[in-house]
Amino acid sequence: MQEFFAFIFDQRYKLLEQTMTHIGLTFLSLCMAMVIGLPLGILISFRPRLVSTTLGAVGVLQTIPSLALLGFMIPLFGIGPGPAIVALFLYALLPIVQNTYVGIREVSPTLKEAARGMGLTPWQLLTRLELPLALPVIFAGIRTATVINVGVATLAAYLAAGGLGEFIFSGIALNDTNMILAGTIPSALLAILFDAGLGRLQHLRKLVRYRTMVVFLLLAPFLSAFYWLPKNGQTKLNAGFAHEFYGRSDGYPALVAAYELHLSSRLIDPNLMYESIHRNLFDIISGYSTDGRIKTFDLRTLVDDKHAFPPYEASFLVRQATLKKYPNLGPTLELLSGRLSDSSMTELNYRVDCLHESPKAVARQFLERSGLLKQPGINKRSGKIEVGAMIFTEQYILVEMIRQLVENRLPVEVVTRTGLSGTKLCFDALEAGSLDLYPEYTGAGLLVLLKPSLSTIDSLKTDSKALYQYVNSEFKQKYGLTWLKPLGFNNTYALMMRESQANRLGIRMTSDLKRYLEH
Amino acid sequence: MIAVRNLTKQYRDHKAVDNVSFDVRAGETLILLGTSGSGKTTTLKMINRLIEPTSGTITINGVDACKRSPHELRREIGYVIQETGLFPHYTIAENIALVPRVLNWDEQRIQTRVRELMNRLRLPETYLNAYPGQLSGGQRQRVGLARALAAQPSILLMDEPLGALDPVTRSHIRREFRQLDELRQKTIVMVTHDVQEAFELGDRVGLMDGGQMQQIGTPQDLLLRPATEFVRQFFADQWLPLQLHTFSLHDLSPYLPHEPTYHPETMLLPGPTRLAEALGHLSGAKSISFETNNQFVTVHLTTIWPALSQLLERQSA
Repeated sequence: MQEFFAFIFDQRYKLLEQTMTHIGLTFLSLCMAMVIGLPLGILISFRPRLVSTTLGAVGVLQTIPSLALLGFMIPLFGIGPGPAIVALFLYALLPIVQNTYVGIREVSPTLKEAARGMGLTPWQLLTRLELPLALPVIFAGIRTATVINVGVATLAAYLAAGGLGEFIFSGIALNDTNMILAGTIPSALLAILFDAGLGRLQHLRKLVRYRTMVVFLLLAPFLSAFYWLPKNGQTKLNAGFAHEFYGRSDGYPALVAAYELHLSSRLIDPNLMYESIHRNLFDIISGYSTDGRIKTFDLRTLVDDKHAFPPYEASFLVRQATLKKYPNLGPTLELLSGRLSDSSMTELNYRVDCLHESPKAVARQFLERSGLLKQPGINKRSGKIEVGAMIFTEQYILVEMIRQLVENRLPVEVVTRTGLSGTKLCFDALEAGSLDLYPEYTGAGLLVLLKPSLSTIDSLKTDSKALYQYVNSEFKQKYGLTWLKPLGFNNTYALMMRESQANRLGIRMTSDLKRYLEH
Repeated sequence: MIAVRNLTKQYRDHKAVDNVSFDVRAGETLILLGTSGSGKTTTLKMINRLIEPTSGTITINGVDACKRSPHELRREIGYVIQETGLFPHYTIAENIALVPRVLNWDEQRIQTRVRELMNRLRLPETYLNAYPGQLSGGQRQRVGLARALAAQPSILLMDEPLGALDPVTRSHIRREFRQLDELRQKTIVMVTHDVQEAFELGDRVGLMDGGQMQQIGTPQDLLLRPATEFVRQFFADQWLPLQLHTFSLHDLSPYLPHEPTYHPETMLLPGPTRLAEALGHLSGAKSISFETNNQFVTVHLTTIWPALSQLLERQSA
């Protein structure tokens, strides 16, 4: 509990900003839904033939799972606030259209006939009789839409549109309960607040009710404007950070510590990060130095001149018990040691990410070219090892290499468990014995798992060999795990910019970036 | 004033109104009488084009109603319905002012007119800002009438205007309506299934059945000279009470002795008082009297019946 409040206090500015963005997203889409939905509801009350088609169509939209709807937005509209608002708008449409239609239709036919008999035109009938009487029902629809949108808006963070979902997604990625709660509790409170507030409105007495409803309708665009509220920090360049990068001590906090560099940032799914900088949604992202998309999208990796990020040499982290059980396993896997440079790994990633070759084929080709595969000759397999992989391309390629190499040379079966969310999860699984090995990076081992004193970190940060030796001996002692000899490449965090923009601004190193921002 | 010719309304599987023709003269009250499904309401609603006729013509003040824009036509015709159709979210004043507002009267004139109508219909001014839900059924009906009269239409259409009220309130309001100057000058077409109401309020009555007009004429015509067996049957049940509603004290005067002076101890009633009402007074007093041709006629409970039987004998002959 204490930790939770400490986290909230620590992140209060970010949280406030996210809450404002969240309210902005909710009401921006709600306004759109009202602008389209109310006239649509009115239109179909005039044209009974359109009713079933229209309500059917908006109803179908509602049945699409919210995450899937956001997923559909990516190929159609890309990422960013626009597509998120479109998705939220589509969600808010049904309650508004339906309630407008039902509200109008349920006005007593006697009243309508009396009004027509008085000589009211259809428009007068609508504005003087039908809409005022349907208002409570229409408002109930707006209330439902608001509450739905407050909830679904948490998913907008998936499309890099910000909001309270940022902390929820980050918290899930980092397995950090406090962070999840920091996103969940405010969004639940918002939902309760709006529901109760709008609920009270419905029960107000006649005249007061109309006035308050009008006030609300005027207030909605105002609340939408929260989306554009000035963000903390500078606004020259916008950063999009992966959840893990933002939360991990070797990510953004390390950058702040080394350079005192404060960036206004959105948290975003790491898989969408590269696409989003390419589409100018951000100017800076937290990439990985061997990612294939660096090549595809023509990005510049900023040189980390103050060594904010420790080396992340790739290696295989293996249970010692497994190495004992299969004595040939260690030497077999170490055949790969030193064979992959930064550029060759980037190339392999590029082939999978951008040329859409399968990790299996890429791994096979690499092994064949390196002459590591023997003629197949093993028919009987006696053992089984379980290999884990985190949810990004490089790990998929590496586990394929492990599988093909080991199954080619040893009489064991290799089972792969891919798509695990991050270091912490893989490590826990390894320690618990549900995994035998997975590809890991020395820097992550040091900062995420061992978490030694700051002086120790500082002494190891600049020397990758010393770091490897340190983590290997510590892991052996503490957890009974071995780091095999490094594969050769260093997949560390790196700030990236579009080549053209970086070139124009003359930014090559992180220090250049700081200088530019403070200028 | 209103001329209806060969009016027919054909629905998919039945004829609601079948070749109906009639005239309503200026200032006259025509009652369309009939059972449910007789086509009387459909006929009424075709006059202000709430229902479009399949064939036939309706001419109002010499102009074909079908050639006019429906809402402009309706603004010149007052319309009163059974459930009153008052707007629940409007105050009484706003309800009454509905049509004048639509017609863009100036606000001062609207306020004056609303107060005038409230007075005439004996609605206390404290109700101006009340909502219809706070009023009794009878009061709501008066407000409904006030709303229909607000823009001073020369024609008034009424669809079972008293149908939702209990019998006592009903006869009260009926009497009030009959005494209302505002209504006397109007050309009124009213639909009802209540025979007594028809006889009490109607200058002429049109009896409808199965979408067709069976007979149209004064209450006396229908009662004493029925055109068909259906018409006779229709009134057979209430033959005597209807007579009492049809004839006035005046009609009895040829069959009773006239006197030059009037006994001060008897109750003096106006000559046009209906017999039904006069009998009501006789249940309390021994005798009543009325004036005719500068002479006075005294009626006792014992003399009224022989006179009535002579009158009926003469009428049916």
